[in-house]
Amino acid sequence: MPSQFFGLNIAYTGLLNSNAAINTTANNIANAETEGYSRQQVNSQASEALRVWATYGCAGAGVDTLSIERIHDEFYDSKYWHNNTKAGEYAMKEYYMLQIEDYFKDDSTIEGFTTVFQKMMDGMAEMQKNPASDSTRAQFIGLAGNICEYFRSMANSMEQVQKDANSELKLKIDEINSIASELATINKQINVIELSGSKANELRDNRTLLIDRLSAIVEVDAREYPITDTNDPDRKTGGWQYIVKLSDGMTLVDTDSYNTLTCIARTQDEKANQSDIDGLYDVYWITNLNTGALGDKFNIYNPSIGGEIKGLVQTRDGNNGENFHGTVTSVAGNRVSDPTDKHYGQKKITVSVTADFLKDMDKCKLSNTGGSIVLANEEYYYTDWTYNRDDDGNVTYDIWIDEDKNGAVLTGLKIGKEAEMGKAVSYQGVPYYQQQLNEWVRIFSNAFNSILKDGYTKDGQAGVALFVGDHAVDEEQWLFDGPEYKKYAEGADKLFGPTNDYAVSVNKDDDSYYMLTAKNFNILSAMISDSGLLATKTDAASGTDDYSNVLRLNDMVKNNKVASYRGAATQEFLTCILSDVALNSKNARTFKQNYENIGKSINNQRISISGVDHDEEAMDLIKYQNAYTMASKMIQTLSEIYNRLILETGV
Amino acid sequence: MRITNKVIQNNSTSNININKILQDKLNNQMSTEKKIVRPSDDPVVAIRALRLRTNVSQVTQFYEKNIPDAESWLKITEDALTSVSSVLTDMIEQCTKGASEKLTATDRNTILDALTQLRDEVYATGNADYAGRSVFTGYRTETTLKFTTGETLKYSITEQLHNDNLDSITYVKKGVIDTINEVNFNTAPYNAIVEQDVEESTICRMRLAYSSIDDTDKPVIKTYDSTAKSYVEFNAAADTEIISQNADPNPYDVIKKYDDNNAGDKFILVPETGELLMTKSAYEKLMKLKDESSTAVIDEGEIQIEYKKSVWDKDDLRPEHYFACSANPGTADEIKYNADYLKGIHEKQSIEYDVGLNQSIRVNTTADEVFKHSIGRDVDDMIASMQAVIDMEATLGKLEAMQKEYNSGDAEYDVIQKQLDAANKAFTLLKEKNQKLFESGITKMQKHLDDANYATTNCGTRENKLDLIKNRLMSQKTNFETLQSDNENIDLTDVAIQLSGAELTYQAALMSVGKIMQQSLMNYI
Repeated sequence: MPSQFFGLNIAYTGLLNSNAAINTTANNIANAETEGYSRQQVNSQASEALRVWATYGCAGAGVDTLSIERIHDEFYDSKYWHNNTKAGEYAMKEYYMLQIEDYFKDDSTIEGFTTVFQKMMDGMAEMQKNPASDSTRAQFIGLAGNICEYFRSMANSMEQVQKDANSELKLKIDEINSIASELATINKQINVIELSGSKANELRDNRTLLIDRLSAIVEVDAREYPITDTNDPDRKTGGWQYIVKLSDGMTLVDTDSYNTLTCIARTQDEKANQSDIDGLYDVYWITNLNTGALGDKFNIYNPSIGGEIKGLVQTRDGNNGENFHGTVTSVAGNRVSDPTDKHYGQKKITVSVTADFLKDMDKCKLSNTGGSIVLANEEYYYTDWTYNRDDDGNVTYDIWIDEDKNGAVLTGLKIGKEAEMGKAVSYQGVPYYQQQLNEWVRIFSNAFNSILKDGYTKDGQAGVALFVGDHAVDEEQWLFDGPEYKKYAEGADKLFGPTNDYAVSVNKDDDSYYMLTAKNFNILSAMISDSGLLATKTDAASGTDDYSNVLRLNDMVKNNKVASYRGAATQEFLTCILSDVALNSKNARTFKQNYENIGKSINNQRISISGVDHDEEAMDLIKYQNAYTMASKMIQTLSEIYNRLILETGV
Repeated sequence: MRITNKVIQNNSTSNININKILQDKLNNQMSTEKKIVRPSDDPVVAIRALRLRTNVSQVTQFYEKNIPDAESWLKITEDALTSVSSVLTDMIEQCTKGASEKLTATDRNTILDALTQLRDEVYATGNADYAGRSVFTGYRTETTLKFTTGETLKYSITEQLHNDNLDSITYVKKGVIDTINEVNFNTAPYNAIVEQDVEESTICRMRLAYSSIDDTDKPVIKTYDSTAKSYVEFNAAADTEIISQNADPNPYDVIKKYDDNNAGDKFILVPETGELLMTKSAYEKLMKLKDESSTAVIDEGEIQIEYKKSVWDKDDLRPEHYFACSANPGTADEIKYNADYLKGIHEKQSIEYDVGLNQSIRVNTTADEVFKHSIGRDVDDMIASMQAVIDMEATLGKLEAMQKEYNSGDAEYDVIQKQLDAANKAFTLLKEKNQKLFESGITKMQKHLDDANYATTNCGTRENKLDLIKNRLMSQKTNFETLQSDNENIDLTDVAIQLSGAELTYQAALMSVGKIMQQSLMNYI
């Protein structure tokens, strides 16, 4: 027979339980719109029945309020994170592709390449009608100057995009660091709370939110393991080990400790591409937080790195998978010993290449200030290179290595091994567009200038180049009178066309068309003040109105047999490149939208489980209010019973 | 699935946003009238737009700039050619007058003056210019067709002639009759003049393009040698002489003597008249030359004559428009003109304007088609011949006046009578020669007129062709613009309908969200 006061106790547990439930409902309603909040519910269980040794068996002992727990399915979290990584990557790409697309735009509102070029061609048409007139020639030269201006501004815009992506990369790396440190703190707090047996619901929600943010930046793998008693592996201590790993398998956060990353700017002699801006960042792990000592390079070029970082890196360094690579065919036995040689103290290696884009100097984007070269997985630094082509069109590069820079000794063991500069990043990012701009200006200027140099001015003087490159440091210009890696000559069918089936050797410092980039593209300064230098005729003694050379120029622009950019005539530049830009931009947008939509639907699934519903909570409110009222009524009833029993029964 | 308020909120936001995106797109299309805002909206449209824009711009350049320019150039040319035709018609008229048998001394003088003026007028027309650019001079628009002032500038000229440029002239040997006067008539050699001294003969010659040739350098005559495969000198240098018109004996007598003596291939340059006299044997040899049709470039019939000329009259045509020549030969300032001519390449300096896609039209007419040297040289011959008649008539008058001073039977009277007989014979012969020359002059001038008319017609034909092209370009331009519009521009009705559809959907979405979001169970507690 249970105690007469047992009922009061039971009612009391009911009161407690309802109270907890009402409070939880209040908390749920209060946090209905809080981001990342998971609804909580009170877990209750009927208390263990009291064996009362009566015929009717055990007596129910009320309710045990076990815990308040959040309702959350972590399976959807990892699905969300994985998708969020993709969404982050394409959001970044979309953002930068929109910018690039805007720069290349050419329509009725913005004058792009085709408009500017067509104006130049109209100027050429006027000049063809009246080559003797100073004003038509000056007008043409002015319009040609606009083409140069267009390319220079494009080069600057591309640099700006690269610069923006680079700075944003640093911001994102900093954000990773800050999230890592927050995660470590939260993990510690969760363990403190949960080791004492309760649930750290809000902290866990916060942690999920942090990983949500982190997953947009970079692909993460977050896992939680229960900490078990070492002596008794089956017993859980209540603590948790929480490990966050990045794509390269390195641990970013391990419960309450974390690692950080840092950005180190490349120096000028570490440039990967000729047109790269100075100070592009490489990312390193920091091994010691106190000293800041650098550890391994964080491989940002890992294709599975994911997230905004991947979008940024591909925008910044995307070269369409075209980086310098070849096979080492010879390694000099000794360093250059002649102190007067510009390669004094360096070792020459020869690398033979087979890729078409490396054989064609118009496409060359090797750094002109030195850089790093990986020989059979070992990094070296080079200072100078020379391009060599033999009669059969085979191409090798002589590269001078400075062994002191990384202290490694270069031996003949590298012969036959792979040599690589920069990374193959198979996306059409800034370096790709820069290379396309450079390639066009080189092809176009070379063909244009060759025709001019083969002709005569109206006064019968030998022609000079019109399209040249500005020096970076002084007021002089590159006139390309060094070795010619591609020559133009009049063919048998009177067509002015390119030939490159002859041996040639071009050093990076030679005054060759390699020196010409979209950034320094300009017209000959002497031509601005004296339009008479423009070669308009092919016969020195014919009259001033002989326009035969203008005809050849006109033909060159329209004829892909004379000057061919991507197989098309040079005037087709924008149609070639705009298809790249537009398709990339369209792809980025489509993928971003797709992943965002998928993200929304996964998030809705998460919300479907964890979200607070007003109607439910209102119902809970009534439900628990009723339960509370009932329990308190119970106490009141029992109180009346005790009153009856104690004061009125048998007294 | 459990639908919470948040799920409804999310879905509503996303749906309303989709509606807004569509509205934004349609709004942009409505306000810009363009299908796309950025290339990535539709890369195909964007790239096609670039191509079409280039096409429209090119056609516009042709239609609005090149064609009007070509039209004005052709117009100027045509005007000049028309006036050349009228000058040549006048010349024919003068020739017809000159060919008449009954001419007085005054008539002759009038014809002489008229011819001299007309000759200058023909070449002056050749100096026509279009906005400061000489129109008949090919690419050399900066130089006029003829010298505008007298100049001294040494040229070495190589004329490329054929046997049809060889001709024979009638030479009237009149001895010293022209120089008889009251004082010297009865002295030697004048007192020995008899009628038999005056005689007529035929002399072969080649007329060069210019008179007043330098007498310092012997002309070099070259013909093609099939064994040496090049043009080599036709005769030894010693067989070519330079003899002035005023020398005694004069060059015509010398060449006649060579002929009479069968002296072989001899040439004599008369620098004042620009005639290259030759013996009959040389003439016959040169006449046998002809072009072999088997060789395309080499002309075996060609006779190259190289000579120098330094003094230029203001009415001389500039040689660089016609011949392979060089100015200041042998000096550092030497400029070689038309060197290709000697290699058999005669590329006309035709100025062509692009007036359509892969379509060009020649706008200029070059001087060699109309303003030939032979016009002036033919007139020169006629003037010289007419002048000789006038001079002889004057001599006759003078002799008759002198004879009146003496009486019949005087020794002087008889001397003068003999001289008069000789002069009369010379006068008759010269008149006869002159009449024939003017008769043939009619034919020659008619030929020149035909050339001028042909060039005018040619010019007109090109103007007609240009008109056709212009019309076609007009329709091409419209065509491209239509394509451009089809490609880039929206159909306003279409978009307007879509927009009202989008608006309706948007309203509906807002209404349903508004209704749903307002209410919850809380409202009823």
